[in-house]
Amino acid sequence: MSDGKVLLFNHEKCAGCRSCVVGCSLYHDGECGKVVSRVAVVRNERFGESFPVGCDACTDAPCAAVCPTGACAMDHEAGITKIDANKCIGCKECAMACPFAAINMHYKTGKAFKCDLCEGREEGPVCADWCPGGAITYEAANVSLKVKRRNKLTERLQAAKVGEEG
Amino acid sequence: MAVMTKAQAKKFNEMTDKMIDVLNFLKNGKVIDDAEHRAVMLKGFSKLVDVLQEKKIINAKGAKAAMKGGFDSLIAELS
Amino acid sequence: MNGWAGQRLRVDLTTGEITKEPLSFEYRRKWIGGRGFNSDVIYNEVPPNLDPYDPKARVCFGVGPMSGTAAPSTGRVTVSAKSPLTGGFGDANMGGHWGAEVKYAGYDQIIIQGRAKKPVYIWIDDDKVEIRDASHLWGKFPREADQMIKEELGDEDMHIMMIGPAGENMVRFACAFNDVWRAAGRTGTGGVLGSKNLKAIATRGSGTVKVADPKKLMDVCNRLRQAFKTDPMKMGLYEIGSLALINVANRDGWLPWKNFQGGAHPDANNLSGETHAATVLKHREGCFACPICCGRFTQIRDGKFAGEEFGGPEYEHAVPTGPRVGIIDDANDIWHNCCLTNDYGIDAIETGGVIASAMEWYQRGLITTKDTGGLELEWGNAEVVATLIEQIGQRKGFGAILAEGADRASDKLGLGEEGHYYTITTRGMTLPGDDPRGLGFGYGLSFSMGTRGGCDHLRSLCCLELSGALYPGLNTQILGDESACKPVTINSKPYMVYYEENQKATTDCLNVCCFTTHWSYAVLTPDQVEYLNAVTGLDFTEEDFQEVGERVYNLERAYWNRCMSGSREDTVPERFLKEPMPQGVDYQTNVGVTFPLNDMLPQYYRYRDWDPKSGFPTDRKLKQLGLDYVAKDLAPLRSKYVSETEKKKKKWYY
Repeated sequence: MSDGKVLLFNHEKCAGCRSCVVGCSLYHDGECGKVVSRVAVVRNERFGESFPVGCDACTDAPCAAVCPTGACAMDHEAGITKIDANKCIGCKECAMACPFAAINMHYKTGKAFKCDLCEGREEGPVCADWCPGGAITYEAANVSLKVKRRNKLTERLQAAKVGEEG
Repeated sequence: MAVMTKAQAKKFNEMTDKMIDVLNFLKNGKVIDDAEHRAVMLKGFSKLVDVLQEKKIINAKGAKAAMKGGFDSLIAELS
Repeated sequence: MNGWAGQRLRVDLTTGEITKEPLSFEYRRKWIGGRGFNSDVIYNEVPPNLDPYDPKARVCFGVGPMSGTAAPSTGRVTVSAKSPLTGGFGDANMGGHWGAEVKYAGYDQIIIQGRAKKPVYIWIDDDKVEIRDASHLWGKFPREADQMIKEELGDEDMHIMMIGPAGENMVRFACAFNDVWRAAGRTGTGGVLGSKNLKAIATRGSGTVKVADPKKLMDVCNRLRQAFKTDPMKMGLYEIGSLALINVANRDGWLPWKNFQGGAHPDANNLSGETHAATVLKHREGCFACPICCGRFTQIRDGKFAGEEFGGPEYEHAVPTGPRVGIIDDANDIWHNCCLTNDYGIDAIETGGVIASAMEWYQRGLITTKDTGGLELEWGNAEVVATLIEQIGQRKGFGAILAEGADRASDKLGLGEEGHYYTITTRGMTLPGDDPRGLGFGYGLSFSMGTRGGCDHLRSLCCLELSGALYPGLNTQILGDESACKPVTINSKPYMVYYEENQKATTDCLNVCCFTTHWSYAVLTPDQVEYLNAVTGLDFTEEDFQEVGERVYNLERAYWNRCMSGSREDTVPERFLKEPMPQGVDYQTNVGVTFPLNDMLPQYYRYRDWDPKSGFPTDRKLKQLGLDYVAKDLAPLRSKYVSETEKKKKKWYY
């Protein structure tokens, strides 16, 4: 488990607004659009369901493992894989290998592009910064999981209490 | 700087809505011109304070008081 | 091109012709987009005496240069058409994500004209546009048809504009939706689409919006989004939605109770945002790029109608088929009615309004069960209300008369002037859930002459008198008068309404959500100018910005004038002028208030530079706004209108 900060995606809190999507596209590409964003939100509008999707910073990353040129490689300091556009040949193997479909092919270059945790941005990744509901957070994974375990415990204890009273 | 009499100020203070009346009065008195009248109508009270401060009709202290107290303060400054 | 796509799409459903028209720099500079583009097309292309259901009528969908960008809340769409409800100028605004998709597909506006021989839908896939058969979709609720189209076209990520059965049946206040639940509620644009046999516009856009100064835009957007994190309105709206207003409305006596007979009720908390969040909130929803996310998704978990779920409701969605028709005991009845108005695709405000009017006619003996097909229109009879909603959507039974709108229904039932007293309309359109004796004197003033039918809170949305108190100093900054932040005072309301109407109109031209600029004031006009210039590379000033709104507003007003509507109709329903607000709860703040329209209207005309005798804009004002052709159109009509006023009775619709 990495001690470094990564993006955590919680679909239960996602309102489907795509502020993350449009912010990411503007920050990285200087234009606004889903097709140049490194995060995506999948929605079932009929049922009010929304799912944010982005790079989960795998420690044993399939995208790097399948890359034939070494363009996609782990940046150990950042804790995330990065794609060197100069080496990328646009074979799409990384995009197909990613379990979360978090890698896309750029409409201008045909090359793969992915999340880089907004390296250098003072406030951290745009998506987590701008998310109105806290569905995307930027934190150390093991810290967040500890909190989640504790919340689950509290939930269970409260439900048991209600069961007793009722 | 006084650009209106106390009597005129009293009339304004009694109005429940006065932006256009104050602007017309200032334009008729050649304190502001057509363009400034229009700009304030579109932008609002803070623009009026800016214009009057630029023309040194009110000073920085008066402008600050106007932005705090609205027309009540501004009309007091102008009379 | 930065900001704009630079072209509009025109689809003629009679001939099948699909054309793309470039939009010149001068045009974009003058009208900006969204409501501006739409109002210009309606003014020029839809004669004032045309039947709104005539094939020659237009429906316009407008988005703006900000649509699809990272500025706060850029997914909205303005839908405009000559209104079947009022006969005058009509438009509505819907949230969701379809607006951004239209922009990504490469269009600033879509114009629909003509009439298809049988039901069709339009499929816009970037620059590829085709008209497809929709017979299998006709009659379906939006939630079903949306999925059918996505499966047929093989892409569940697309976004779709859609009408419900009510639009197909040309109910005069049917509405359009996108993303299933986001409604462009008012003025009956859904029925115009239905009259053209157009069920839906499915859209997929793979483009982007180009930005002149990306770094500048990023800075502005970031600054605004940081501000929203601690904005008081955002926090309330995100937590419990626009139903956050219920308890406020109840305290300040503007919650419509029984057709506005009263303004408060002891059980209002049953449908409050707090109660909704604790009992039936399934999910929070946000429109494209929104930092507020006030949208709701409701699922009834137990009790009546358990299992039912739908997108919404908003305050204005729940109130009309709730307290306005006397339903307040069991909130599940209200949520069920919201589900029905969504599924049939009818404006909830107008639906609840016409049912409430009918209930008051029934209460006062103007109609009986003979007129209603046996239905007992007792206040609070939830079963009857639900039946009527379905009847209206299907144009069946007594609902077929109500589907005409309250004023036409009153005439059809032969109720004379007395019937109209209870229709609670101005220019044929009814009030939203905001009694002007409580919210407020500014709102009420803008009801009297609003340019999509009176009685509309969204023409000014002068929340300087609602949420203005949460932003100390703001009323002083704009109006020079902090006391204006109270709703029940006339202080500075004429100027407030003038300013807010202009502001709102330009906001609608950009097609960003007005909840970021009215209600929440986290985004002010200077911020909008900054992000507009960062995207387009142009040099709008604050004056330019407000002036565009003033231009659009005057154009829409002139359309009404050409329909022979003016100062004679600049009023609010008599109930508010004559009946003092009764006491509904002991903490109510506006008991005894009547609405003092005439203490404000003459001053308002001065701000607008409209001739008070006719209510027509003066030549001087029109020329100042570059609307010389409009001055020419109005010249022969001014005196005609005034003499008509002298001769004829008041018109209730056109």
